Amino acid sequence: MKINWRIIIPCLLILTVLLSGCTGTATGTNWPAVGASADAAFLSNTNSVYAVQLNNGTMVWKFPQESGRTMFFAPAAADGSDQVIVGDYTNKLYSINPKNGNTNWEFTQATGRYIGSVLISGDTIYAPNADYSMYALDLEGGLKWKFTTEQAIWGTPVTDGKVVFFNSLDHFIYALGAGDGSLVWKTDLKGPTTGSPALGEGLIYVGMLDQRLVALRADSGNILWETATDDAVFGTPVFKDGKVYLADLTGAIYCVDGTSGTIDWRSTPSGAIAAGPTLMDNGVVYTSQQGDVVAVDFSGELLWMRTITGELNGTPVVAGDLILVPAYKGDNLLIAYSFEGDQKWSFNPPKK
Amino acid sequence: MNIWDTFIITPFVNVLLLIYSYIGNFGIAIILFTILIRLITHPLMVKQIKSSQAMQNLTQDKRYKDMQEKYKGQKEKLAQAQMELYKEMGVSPFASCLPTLIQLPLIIGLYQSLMRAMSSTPSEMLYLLQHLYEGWFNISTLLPLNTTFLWMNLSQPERLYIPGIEFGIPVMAILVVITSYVQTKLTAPPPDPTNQNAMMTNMMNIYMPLLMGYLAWSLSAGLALYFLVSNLIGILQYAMLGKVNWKNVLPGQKKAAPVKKGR
Repeated sequence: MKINWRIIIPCLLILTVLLSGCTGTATGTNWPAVGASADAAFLSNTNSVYAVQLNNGTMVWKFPQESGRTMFFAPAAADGSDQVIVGDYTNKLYSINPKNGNTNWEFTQATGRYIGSVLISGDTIYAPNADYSMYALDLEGGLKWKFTTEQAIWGTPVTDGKVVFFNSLDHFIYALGAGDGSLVWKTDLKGPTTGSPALGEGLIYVGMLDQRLVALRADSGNILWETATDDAVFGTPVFKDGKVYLADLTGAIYCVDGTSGTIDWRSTPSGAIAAGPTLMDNGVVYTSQQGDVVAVDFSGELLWMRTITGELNGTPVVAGDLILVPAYKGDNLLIAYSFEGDQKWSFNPPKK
Repeated sequence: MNIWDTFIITPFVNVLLLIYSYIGNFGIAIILFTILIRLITHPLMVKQIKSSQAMQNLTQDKRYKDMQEKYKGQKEKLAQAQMELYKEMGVSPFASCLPTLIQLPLIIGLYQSLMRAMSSTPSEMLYLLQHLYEGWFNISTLLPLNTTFLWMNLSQPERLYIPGIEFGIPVMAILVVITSYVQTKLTAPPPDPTNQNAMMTNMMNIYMPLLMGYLAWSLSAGLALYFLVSNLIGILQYAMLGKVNWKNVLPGQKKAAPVKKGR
């Protein structure tokens, strides 16, 4: 058989490039995410984390200074003093000095990606990892304990100070002793969840991909009620004053009574919503995939809506009197709004 | 949603996951899906073989050899004469490559489908949720996929760690290189010193398996599994069509022409 290699060779080269390009690298890709301290936003996007001043949107530093194989898509968490903690898709967790972007320490014992943000509580850092484990570290990066589940952990844990609660993709929600990582209880949610649990008044709320909101007792893990949604709940619900606020992939936003599980109000102001909502003083902010930033008051009345280019899949963050919105495939990577919906600034990394 | 997603990725993902939802093992689902793809593209492969055979026969034709001599150093005239001969003998020089070109998007699509189906990042999971055909799946039991197959995590590059050895052995990449090499050798034509492409063919017999091995080494184990199964099925298909030179694989054996069965 004669093969025309003059055509096959370029095709194979194209195939190599395309297959490599399909994933970027074997490390995968995701949309940008944002965390914040009192005076800075920390934007994780592809190879870098950018520290951006909250008052004017200018870049303070970039980490690492020279882009390498790092891949950041998890939101960074600030401890309020001398550390910003962020994990990457090449299995490393970094402590960064918020003033200058230098590395304080690295934790390299995990074998999977850091997809969710870490939780910093007291003198402990709780770091969820896709290698199925929750890592508890001291503030110097030393391992205190590790708890392994049956699947990847994508969501950020929450704590009441004594117990740490988190979801795993193995369909279970876990409650561990905050000090020693001992299992307090675990409950089968009978379905997958990607977000984090929300902690209310003695209850925990979990949005499910199989179109449910589940409420459990925080002390026992017993399921109290379940409320059906129109579509998958991809982002993390939030809790305020006895109400749970959430959104689903049809674009429906809900206010659910935290005690009974009845839906107080529901509306569909925009398209599909993958990000979790964020609480402001005067209402709740949702961001839709089609690029709408929607603010409603606590009764569900529309306060304002702004449209920006790009997909808004990353959960917005409130920092001081600003709402920080990370954008994917848009003109800007990060946009800051006031609670009244005025755009204060936008950020893109400076070009080399 | 773009055309590529609508007609390639989304159907691939849904069929792959449908198989998985019945089998419950993603590795076996990839194997069955690969067999399905190879069956679908089998007519293309037969056409490719026939066209290649016709091209090969043409290069053995006296008129073809004569024109090589006659128009030596006159590329344009040679090309024109070759085209006339192609036309006269009813052979298209591109017919043997077209099926390969058609299969390339399938390979790329399959890879993208594997990555989307395994959903190892939130963006892949979101894509998956928004592209599953309605009514086909029960999300509660479908997700997350069990991507463990034998010793492999199919969503990650494959390495086998053996106690006492500090580094992981890329078993799948090695198997892909071997099967790609065997497939290339089995299906290679007898060397023809007068053929200008012979040297390039020999080089490709080495480079293509290495290229496939590199992809299997650096990309997800799921794709390596696809390459391996695809190679094995390819060898089987060629064997069933009577187009393999088993002796070509063994060192020190005299090169043999393809076995011609009545096709």
